[in-house]
Amino acid sequence: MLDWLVAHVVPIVFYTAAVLVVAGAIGVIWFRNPIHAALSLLATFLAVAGLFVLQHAEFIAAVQIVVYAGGVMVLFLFVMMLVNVRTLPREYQYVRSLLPAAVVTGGFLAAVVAAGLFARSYLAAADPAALTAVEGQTMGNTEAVGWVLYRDFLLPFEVVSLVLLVAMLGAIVMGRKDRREEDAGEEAR
Amino acid sequence: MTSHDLLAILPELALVLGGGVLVLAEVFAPSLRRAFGPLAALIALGAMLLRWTVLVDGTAFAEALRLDELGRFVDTYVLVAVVLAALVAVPYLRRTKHEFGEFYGLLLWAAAGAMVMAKTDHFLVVFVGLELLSIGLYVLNAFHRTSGISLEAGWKYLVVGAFAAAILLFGIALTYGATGTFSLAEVAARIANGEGLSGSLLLAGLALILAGFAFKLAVVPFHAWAPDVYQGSPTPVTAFLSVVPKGAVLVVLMRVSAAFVPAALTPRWLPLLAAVAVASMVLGNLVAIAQRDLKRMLAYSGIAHMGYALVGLVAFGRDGLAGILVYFAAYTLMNIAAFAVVAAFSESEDEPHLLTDLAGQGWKRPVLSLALSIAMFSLAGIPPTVGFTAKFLVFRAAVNEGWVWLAVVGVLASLVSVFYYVRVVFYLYMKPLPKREPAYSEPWSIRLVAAGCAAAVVALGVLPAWLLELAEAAAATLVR
Repeated sequence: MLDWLVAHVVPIVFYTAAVLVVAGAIGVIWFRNPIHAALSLLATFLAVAGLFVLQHAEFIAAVQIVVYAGGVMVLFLFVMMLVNVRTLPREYQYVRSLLPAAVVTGGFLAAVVAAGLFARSYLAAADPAALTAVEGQTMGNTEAVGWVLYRDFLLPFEVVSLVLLVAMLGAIVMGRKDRREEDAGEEAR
Repeated sequence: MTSHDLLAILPELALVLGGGVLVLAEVFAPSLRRAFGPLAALIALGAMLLRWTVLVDGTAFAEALRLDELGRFVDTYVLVAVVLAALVAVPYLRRTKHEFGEFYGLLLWAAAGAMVMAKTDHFLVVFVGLELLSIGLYVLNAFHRTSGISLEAGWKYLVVGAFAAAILLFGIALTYGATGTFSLAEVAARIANGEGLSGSLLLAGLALILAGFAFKLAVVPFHAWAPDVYQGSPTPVTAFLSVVPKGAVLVVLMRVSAAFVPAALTPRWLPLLAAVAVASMVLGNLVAIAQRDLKRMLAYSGIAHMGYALVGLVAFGRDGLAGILVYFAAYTLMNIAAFAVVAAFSESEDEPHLLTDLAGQGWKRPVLSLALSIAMFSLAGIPPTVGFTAKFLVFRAAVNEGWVWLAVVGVLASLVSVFYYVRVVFYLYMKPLPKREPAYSEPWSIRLVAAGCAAAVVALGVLPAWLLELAEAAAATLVR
């Protein structure tokens, strides 16, 4: 039994994580309580991190946990608790019957997955060693990502940080209180 | 990162840090608010000085940046547009009570994105540079937050821009899949080695890249956003928007063409470009006739002008590329001159900037009217203005490369355009003043920009040799 488990640890972890990803995603749209939906999303995030580990992408797995399961999820929960939404109101559905939509999207997804599996049988599998090798030297995955990011892709990396700054400042500019509104408020006081 | 890398991006660093200082000054020294616009112009001038004094050649940042004459030419043109837009913005923002440091910060940062695009031959850097430019512009378009049409412009540009970015990224991904590299230099080297690059994956990738850029260039059939965005944006932003992203995108298209076109793609790539050029020239000029709003008319005129510039790209070769570069310079000067005059209209910004409001202003406001007339003659391509020189160069290159029919269509289209450009001059000088005169404000900085641009348009039209030499040296970096 133990030998069987050891031999099949990769498929077992994969299918467990895969089921968790889908179940978490279904939970997000299933739960009426937004907090429950958010926690369900957390399960998806963590299971996706597990899938990354299986692909030998340890760095991405860690980023997935720190950024998504950590930062993004805390932000979601903060916002939901601040606005204090208990349950989502039942909204009028514009689409009377969801069945055709479900069949079309589901069929499309199945076709894409089938095409991917078909192509997979023709293509060579990705080499996991490529994830840890830089110029012939083998190192940890995180170290390899660091090498590529801060040497080969330094300029795009720096520009992206500037893009984030501009986006943040833009949001502040758009969300700022108008000076005239403030003046009017002071006069009224 | 080495000191070489840092020296290579010194002007961009100056813009980014300068923009940061202006944003912080908004918080810590709001009493300096009146000086922000001139300060932003000074920062851009300083960056231009750095670009032409600290001459670094070769590549930087692991071959992500290519420092050559072409990059320097486009940088200069971007920075000139920043200086002019910042000067036009000073009185405009004061009048509309939106005088904030963030405006100039975003302007400088967006310009840095355009400058990065102009110098790279790495697709990933092209994409992040374009995003830096676009995100800055989304906010600048909607900067006039109390105006409904400004918010509409920002929203439309955001949606269309996000769509275009996704298409561009898809194209980049497919091209990467087909070639295995992001670097245009490597593609060119492989083609030089006789490695034939073709296949439907590459064709689809290049077509999507062209479509993504066509959105930014506002050429037919991806032009529909232009009139609404031009009309709604704050006028100094429209001036910037109408020249800087287009120049940056065209230079990337020039580099892409130079790398890929020899790879047996010519029979497909060139007819595609030619079709887009013809559609833009014809539709832009015909629809512009029907416009009553000056900003919308200039939007359609911009669509047509990008069509003329694409004619140069179809002709390719050293003459065609030099023609495009001269076109950049000409288009910047004449367009910003026109928008500077439009910015002097001081009716409510939600009102249309009607052509009829210009009636009879010719003798009343001699400086602005003369500048607008010169800009209109130049846009129409009437000598002795630089607009004529630019069109002449582009069409000559097309004829020399055997695209005679394209040049004929271009000349016919620009004949049509003479009608609506000269109509503006007709309203200015030959119509009586209306009973209820629209409000104008004529501050010094707008007069300076309009008069300076108009003078440059005429000077470069009479003596184009200096500009042409620079453009030919820049074009020689791509084509021998």
